Amino acid sequence: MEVISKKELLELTGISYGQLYRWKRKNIIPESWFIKKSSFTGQETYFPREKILERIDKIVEMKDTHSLDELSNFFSPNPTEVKLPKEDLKAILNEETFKLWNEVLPTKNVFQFQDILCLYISEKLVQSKKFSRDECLEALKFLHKSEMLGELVGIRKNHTLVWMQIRNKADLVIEEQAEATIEINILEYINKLKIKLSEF
Amino acid sequence: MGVTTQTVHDLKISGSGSANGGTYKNVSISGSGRIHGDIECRSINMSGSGSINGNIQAETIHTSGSSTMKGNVDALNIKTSGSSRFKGNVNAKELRTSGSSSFGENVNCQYFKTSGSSRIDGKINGGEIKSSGSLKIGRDCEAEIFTGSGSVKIGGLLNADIVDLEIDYFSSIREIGGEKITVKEHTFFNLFRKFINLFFSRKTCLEVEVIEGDDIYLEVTKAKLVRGKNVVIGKDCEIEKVEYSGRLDLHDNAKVYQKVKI
Repeated sequence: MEVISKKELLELTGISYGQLYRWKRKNIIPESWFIKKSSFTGQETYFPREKILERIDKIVEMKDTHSLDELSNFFSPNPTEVKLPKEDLKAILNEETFKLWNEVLPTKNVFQFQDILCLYISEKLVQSKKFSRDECLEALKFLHKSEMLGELVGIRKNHTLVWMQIRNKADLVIEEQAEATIEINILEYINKLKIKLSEF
Repeated sequence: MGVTTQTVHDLKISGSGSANGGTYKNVSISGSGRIHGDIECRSINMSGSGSINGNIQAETIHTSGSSTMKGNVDALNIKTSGSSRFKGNVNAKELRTSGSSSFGENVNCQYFKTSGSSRIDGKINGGEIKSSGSLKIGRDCEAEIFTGSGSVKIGGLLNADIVDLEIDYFSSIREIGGEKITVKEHTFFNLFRKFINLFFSRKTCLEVEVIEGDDIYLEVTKAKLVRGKNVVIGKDCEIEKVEYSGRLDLHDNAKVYQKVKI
């Protein structure tokens, strides 16, 4: 993973120390991205290069129109405040997706972010037309029970499909006879869903 | 929060006594009182020696004398004087302590004002933090505005937009990061203090590893690294390395071993 030093970051993006520390405080830049390493000059802080540059771009784009708290909510990986009743979800997801859910958890009436995310991803799987209904159902069950990290990958060999989650898709190496039929970046879907929910 | 049951009574312990927790309207302890169990109420007033062995949810908490809260505290307004001990996490809108206070875990508040001696073993997140006397924080301290006068000891990172320190005794902060950082020598009773310090060979000094900010003004500071846009190193400072991108001003007796313009 490529890293960039704090010094270089400030120089490259033109942001100030005050801004960086403020965004750290507000959790707009996650604490885990601040990587401390001992260097020749003492302790130096580094960041995952691609992630931080992309994040700062987004922050700079949104900071004049949104409050820091709004930004913090937007970037947090698990917005716990979301609680939607079944009826409201019909505006975001389609009917078919609901039928799938009813087979997994028919009695649920109030949906939290994690639940909506599972449904949202399953809907995309259905729309891709690459999977049978049962396979989408399996994916939904899998997502619902799992921790949701990294990439969701569907690996097909002959007529069997296996769903997997992998932290880094670059680490995935499969045999020739099998193929990765789809790769869904969960974080990307989290962001897409958040935008969808904020427009709702 | 708020008490919504129909008939909620006040709880009064005076002299010496103990009671069970529960839901009350106004709770008052004077003398020596102990409450066992979680408590939810509108107000708690303690004077003398009081202790609550449970979690507390209240609108206002006032204590004077010796108080011990063993559980987590969730309140709007907390005011303590004397010796107060909070063993759990404290979440309040406004928190004012005077005398000797200790917090065993984390503190979260919008306004924290402390005078006397205050100790927080965990971390503190505040909007505005104002301390006079001795403040000791075990882990990180985050605030919009941090004002400290006297002695400040922080084991982690002090992250605030504005840091305003007036040091008059030995202080140490592991790291400081923010927008505007000012460290000055507290000049109250300066002559007398200088005499005492000289006599006991104590030096007024703030020790920090790294200071990073946009505008930095330092006096009586000893640091390994100072990085900023505009930096002023004032009197009695000893800095190993200063990196600045705008302007650097050095006082006559400031010791800076490496200056780098970036």
